Amino acid sequence: MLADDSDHVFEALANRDRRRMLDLVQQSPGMTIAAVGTHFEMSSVGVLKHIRILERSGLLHSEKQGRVRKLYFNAVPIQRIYDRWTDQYSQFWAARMMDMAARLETRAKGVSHA
Amino acid sequence: MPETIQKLFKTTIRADIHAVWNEITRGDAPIKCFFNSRMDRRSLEPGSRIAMRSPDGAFTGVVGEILEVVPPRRFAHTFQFTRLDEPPCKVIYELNPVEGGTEFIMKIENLVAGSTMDKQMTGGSKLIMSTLKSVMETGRPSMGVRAIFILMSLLQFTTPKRCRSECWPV
Repeated sequence: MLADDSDHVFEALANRDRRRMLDLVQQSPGMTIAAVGTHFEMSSVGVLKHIRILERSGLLHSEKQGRVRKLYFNAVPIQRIYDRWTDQYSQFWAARMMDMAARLETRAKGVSHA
Repeated sequence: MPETIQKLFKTTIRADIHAVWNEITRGDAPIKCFFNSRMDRRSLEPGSRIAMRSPDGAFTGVVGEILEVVPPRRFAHTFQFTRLDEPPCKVIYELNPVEGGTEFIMKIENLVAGSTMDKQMTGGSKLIMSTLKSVMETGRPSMGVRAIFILMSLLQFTTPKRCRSECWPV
């Protein structure tokens, strides 16, 4: 996922079946596409279409292991979206903490020089 | 045998694959994305023991053994928290060149599902991914992560004695 590809993440998450697929893979890392399909009343082509959308968003990663393709949930795209809107608030507390650390260090130096 | 699982974290970084490789394997300075730890080791070769130590070297949070070194594509080692009595897991870093940067994949294998290590690795890995991306693209971690480093430094005196580096030679 390069640049601002969060459009793909929101598109992927905007569908109930795809969210359910993510839940299943998160609960059972390494699940096969066929195993995911058993939880849905849709054709294997339909399941594959949803899996492809989830892969394009970066939320799912597939790996061929032997004769099967295994699926893994990747939380990083969601984390990036979270960070995008929360970092501005954490900056406030980070600045306060850095200020506190600087004051403690100054005080410690004062004690050691006394 | 408890059930073990594999977890995976993936991101794309706007940086050259060699630069990313050098950052995650460096031994000359603290590695910011690994909670500002220094990677102490005899050599960067399979079989070498590694220890992730605090910047001042006093405490060791993680130990392991290097399993694979394939620059700049693949680096794998065992991973054990010094403060936990749980079996080690295996961490694999895979780097792939992609248009505009590097695809970075972190895999964790042999995690006991629901264990303390599972929970700590899952939480920590998200921070590793975002910090590595930030360091490679902007030159430093986000302000929030820098604050975490300060907090870790201030609270270092609470670290258990079993984590003192003299207990974990490489």
